[in-house]
Amino acid sequence: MKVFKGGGPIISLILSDLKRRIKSPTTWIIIWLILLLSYVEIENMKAERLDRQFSGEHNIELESLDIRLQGSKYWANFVNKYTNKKRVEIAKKIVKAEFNEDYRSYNRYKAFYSLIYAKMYMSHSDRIRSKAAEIEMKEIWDKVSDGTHFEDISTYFYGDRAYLMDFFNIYQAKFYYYLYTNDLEEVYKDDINNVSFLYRYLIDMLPLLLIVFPILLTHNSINKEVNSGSARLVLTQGISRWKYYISKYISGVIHILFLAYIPLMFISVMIGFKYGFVSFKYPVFYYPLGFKGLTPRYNYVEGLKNPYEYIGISRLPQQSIKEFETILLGDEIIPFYNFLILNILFTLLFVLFAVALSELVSALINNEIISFGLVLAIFISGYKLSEPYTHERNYNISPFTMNNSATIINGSCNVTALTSFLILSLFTILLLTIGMLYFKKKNI
Amino acid sequence: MEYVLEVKGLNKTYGKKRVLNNVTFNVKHNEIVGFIGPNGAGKSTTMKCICNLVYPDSGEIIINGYDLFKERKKALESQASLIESPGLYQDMTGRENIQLIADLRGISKERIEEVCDFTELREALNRRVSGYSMGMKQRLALGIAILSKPKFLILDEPMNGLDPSGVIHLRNTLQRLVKEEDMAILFSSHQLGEVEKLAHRIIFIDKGEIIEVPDIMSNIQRYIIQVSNLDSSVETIANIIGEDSLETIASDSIRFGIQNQDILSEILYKLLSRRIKVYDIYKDNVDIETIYAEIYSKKL
Repeated sequence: MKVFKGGGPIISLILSDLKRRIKSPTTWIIIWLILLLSYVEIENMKAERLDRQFSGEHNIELESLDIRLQGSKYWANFVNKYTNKKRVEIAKKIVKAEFNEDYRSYNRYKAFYSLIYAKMYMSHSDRIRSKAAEIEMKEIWDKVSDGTHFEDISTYFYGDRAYLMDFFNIYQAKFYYYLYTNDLEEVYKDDINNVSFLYRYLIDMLPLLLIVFPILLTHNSINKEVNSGSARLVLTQGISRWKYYISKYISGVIHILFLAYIPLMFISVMIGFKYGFVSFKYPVFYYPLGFKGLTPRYNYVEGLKNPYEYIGISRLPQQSIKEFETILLGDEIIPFYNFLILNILFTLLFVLFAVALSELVSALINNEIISFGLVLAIFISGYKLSEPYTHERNYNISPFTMNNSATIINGSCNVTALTSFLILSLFTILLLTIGMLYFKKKNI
Repeated sequence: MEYVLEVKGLNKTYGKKRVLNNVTFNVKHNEIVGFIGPNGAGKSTTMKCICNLVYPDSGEIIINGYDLFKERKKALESQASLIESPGLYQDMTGRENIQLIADLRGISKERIEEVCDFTELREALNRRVSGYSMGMKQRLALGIAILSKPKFLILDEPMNGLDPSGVIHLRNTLQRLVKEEDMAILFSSHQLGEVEKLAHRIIFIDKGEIIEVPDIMSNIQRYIIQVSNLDSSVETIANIIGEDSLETIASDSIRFGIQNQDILSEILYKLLSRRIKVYDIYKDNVDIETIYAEIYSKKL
């Protein structure tokens, strides 16, 4: 008789457990709740869009032409004639390109237009920053400037205001240049489509769900089976206890990932069919230095009037300098599919930690109601106690606050992606080891 | 290898409470052994130790020649168990329950079908276990237990919750398993009448200790034989079943206990071959309640 070869028993247990989990009414109630929440989110996006259009803030260049041309007189006081002339010339080209629905030219002119503004706003007082800005600008300048020399565009020389806008415009230039080189059409943050919905879901809804799911779905993964006797059925078959423990763990993790992403994919496809599809190559911003270092970009967004700035669908964190607000430095562009993969990886890391904790409690406590209460209390208190460290100038190392993968990838949670990876991995290994050692000797 | 199960010097404490104290016993091949004791005597803990669900503080458990704590997999492969209520996945169908354990044990499809037939649940196997009666659950659990054709079966209170027809069905099934599948069974029960009908031998436990009783009391099948030569007869029978398993009850009569019918044939053959006349032989009905009362007299 063939018995217990390789990962066979673990896979059988995982598949059987997953089948039961997915069939359970809780799973389907959660799926319906996600559908409902998504509907609310789409309605919010519609409301935001209406609000933006009524307030006169448009992304449609035709409508903002007057505003841009009106700015000519203002800018004439601060920059040289050539710069102002070039600025107006490119603005007109942008409008024309949009009118002709020539989005490739539109993106190229927008990129150059943003570079002109970045140069105009370039800092005089901070030489390091201005040098950094110059390097960044020159990376794409020649590819979009139609022969206009970098040195011919003058800079705005009045005070601190110039200090604030350079990098925002550089980011914009990079964004449009990416659209130009990848032949993509611009999408605004509240446009309803598959990608902007996914982005909103990942950044706004998923963090909350990642706290709720482990509490609801894995607080009783061990004690329920011990109490019902089914653990005895399996363990008396000669299955190692660690194999049983780890199979419950893996199925719990897969179950949560399934609920976090599968309904989402379904909804995003439905939205795509109804409102239109946008390519997964669409550009979004992330903070690449967060993957290499342990020192975070401190999160000063709390308390700001407008804590975030948007470019396309990307939410960029700002910080307050003196009485002004400025965008943080160091962001780079990646295609949305890369952002999604990174998001799934960091979500997986958090879920691995959360389920390890939840399962440990369910192994320690036989009473399912008490284990639910305890897991709930641990997650809520863990989050509440460490949440202040995600703001201001703090170094956040609490795994309980690492539920927002999007902000970790964006580097705006007082923690770098690398730190988050190390902390979540360490806690997961620790909790799993304790859990397995305890369960190995537990009387069933 | 004479024994399918050997338990030696098992000790277990929960906190300061000692629940098993030097528990030692064994089960032979093809033997049905009843495990009797009042509530809290240590029956379930002993059985859970044998099933590796509870770890003893010390002691040795050898199943089919394999040390449970050194060769766990091999030891557990040779046994199957039903501890307390049938531990089945209630939200799965009967067939899915069987399939899961078959996957874990690497059982062939043919054997799965044999077991499905054995349970006699037929189309009910495709329904969720939560809708089964206790008797159906017990049949399914027993089917799952014998999937891997174990040499040794442990049943903790298997008759609990069964109606009379369920009890009869279970008893017949267990007897059939011992005969046809070459299995030994250790089972606990509070239903002394059922123990009397099913068991070949009884092990008594109280306060975590095995109660030593003469074999004549622990062997369920007892006979009284009337012979011509008492001394020679005692010597002959003692050579076969041991002195502990017999007693002289009159100048020409001996009472003896045996574990199976084959031994009775051997006794008769040996007596006749030594030219001892057998005037009469009849079954001495064991009143297990009397024995129980004798052993646990302080409690009754």
